[in-house]
Amino acid sequence: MPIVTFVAPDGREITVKAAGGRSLMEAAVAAQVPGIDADCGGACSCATCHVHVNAAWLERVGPPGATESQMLEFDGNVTERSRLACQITLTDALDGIAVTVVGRR
Amino acid sequence: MLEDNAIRPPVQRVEGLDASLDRLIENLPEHLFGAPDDPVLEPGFSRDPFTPLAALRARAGAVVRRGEDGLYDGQSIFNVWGHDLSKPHFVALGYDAVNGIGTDAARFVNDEAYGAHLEAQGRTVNAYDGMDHVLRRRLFDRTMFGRAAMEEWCAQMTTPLAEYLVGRLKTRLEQGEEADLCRDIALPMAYKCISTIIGIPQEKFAHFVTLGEIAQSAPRDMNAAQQAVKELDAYFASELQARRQCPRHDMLTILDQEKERDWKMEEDEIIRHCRFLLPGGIETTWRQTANLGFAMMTHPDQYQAVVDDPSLVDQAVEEVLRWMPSGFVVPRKALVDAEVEGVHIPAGSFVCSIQGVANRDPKYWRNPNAFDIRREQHPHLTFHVGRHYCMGQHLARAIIRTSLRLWVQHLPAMRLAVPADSLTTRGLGVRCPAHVPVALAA
Repeated sequence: MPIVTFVAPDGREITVKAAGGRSLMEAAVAAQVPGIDADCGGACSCATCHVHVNAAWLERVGPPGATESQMLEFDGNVTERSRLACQITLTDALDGIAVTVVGRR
Repeated sequence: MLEDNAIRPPVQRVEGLDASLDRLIENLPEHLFGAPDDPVLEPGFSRDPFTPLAALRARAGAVVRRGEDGLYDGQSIFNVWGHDLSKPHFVALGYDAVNGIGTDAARFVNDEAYGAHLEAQGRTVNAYDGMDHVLRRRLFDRTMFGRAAMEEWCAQMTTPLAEYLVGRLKTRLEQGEEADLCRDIALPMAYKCISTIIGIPQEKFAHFVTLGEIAQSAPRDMNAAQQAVKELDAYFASELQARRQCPRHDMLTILDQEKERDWKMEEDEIIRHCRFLLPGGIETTWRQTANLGFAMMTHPDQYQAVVDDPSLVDQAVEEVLRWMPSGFVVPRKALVDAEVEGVHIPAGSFVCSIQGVANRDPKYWRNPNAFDIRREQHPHLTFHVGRHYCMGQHLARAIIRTSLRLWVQHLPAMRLAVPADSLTTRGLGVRCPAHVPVALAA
């Protein structure tokens, strides 16, 4: 089971074990990570699970898809490390990943 | 973003929790209760669509095309959305099929999918695709229906309202009076929440629920639906002008003041959305709360389990949503040729995803027809999936969870006042019991 570290908007670090195959967003919601609202439930249609991926993990996570990029345009604080957590599927290759939650604007 | 010159008061605590609400509840007309399409369905099918549709799935597959005889491999299924049946028409009955169609926004679209409803009601957030949909959905989620926005509404509205209604129910039951979870809890919870959000006064409770139900009846009576739509439009147009003089924290003011990116909703669209979300928000939400009452009261051992361990509330609610969803059928239109579960669906076809039946797909749930709050959880399809995932899910969950939490806390001895086998849910488009009579156990 991959281990994930979320850095919440208040700076708190929350580390959880997540079931493989689930999304990073689902792991965050299950751990009640602040700032991951996931209004749309993982349908890539709300941008309320915006995270910045730790630079060391960027290559393994890969870039956002076309729809995801469109949705990110709706959110503030977009950088080259921006992803929507609902679009990242957790696999063993992502064991140890760290992301920073962007949170509500 | 709120415009600089806009003034909107914060969310106010819900008003009218007193004898005036009690009188309105007592005088709600009987015709408001029950499933709206029950009178046009074959009675046996209305009572139990699960058995014939599971049998249809077992013999004909997860996706079934309407034949030239008007039947789906011999099974009659009412045209819930009033689709043009000169076009190919399909029903999706399996979990993977419903999930696949719902999440495939490139091939299955909402544009034109709502059939007679679209004709009577015009385009609302449900009927847009792509960025047109995203703009509207973001506006609603950010200001009202998203999780963060809804927390504020729930603190001021859902919780005080549920506490009032459950307190009232407790008093009645302790005095030995009969009560009904549909009349005394479910419908007032949904109406008060939705009407507070939209900005409609309490005293017209029965009038607006009636008008809303008629506005939603287009597949069965287009003329009546169009008349109701006209009346509601006139009402909301007048209310919108009043809000411009005196803003309130409600949907009328919010939609009139807010922008999403540089886009702002036009006046006629504000009116259309208020008129659509009035019945759209009430009809499935009150019936889902009624289904909660039905499920818990017809399974007293499981109600007792939640009384004994209230940490079971959330999983009990998810099992109610799976086992007896009020919103039963969701439409889509095929934009291009597609294949789902091995079935060819030509471009232009209509598809009805029957999520109420897909929620009992034996591929994902053992003994799927059993109501079991302790079963292993698997995501159900009740709020549907994909980009058009139910906008009101956070409000609906808040209402249902709060209701159950307060029932087990304050009414641990609540029981059905009639034999369990005399009570049924009915309907296809939306499904519920007409009444759930309750009393306190001796």
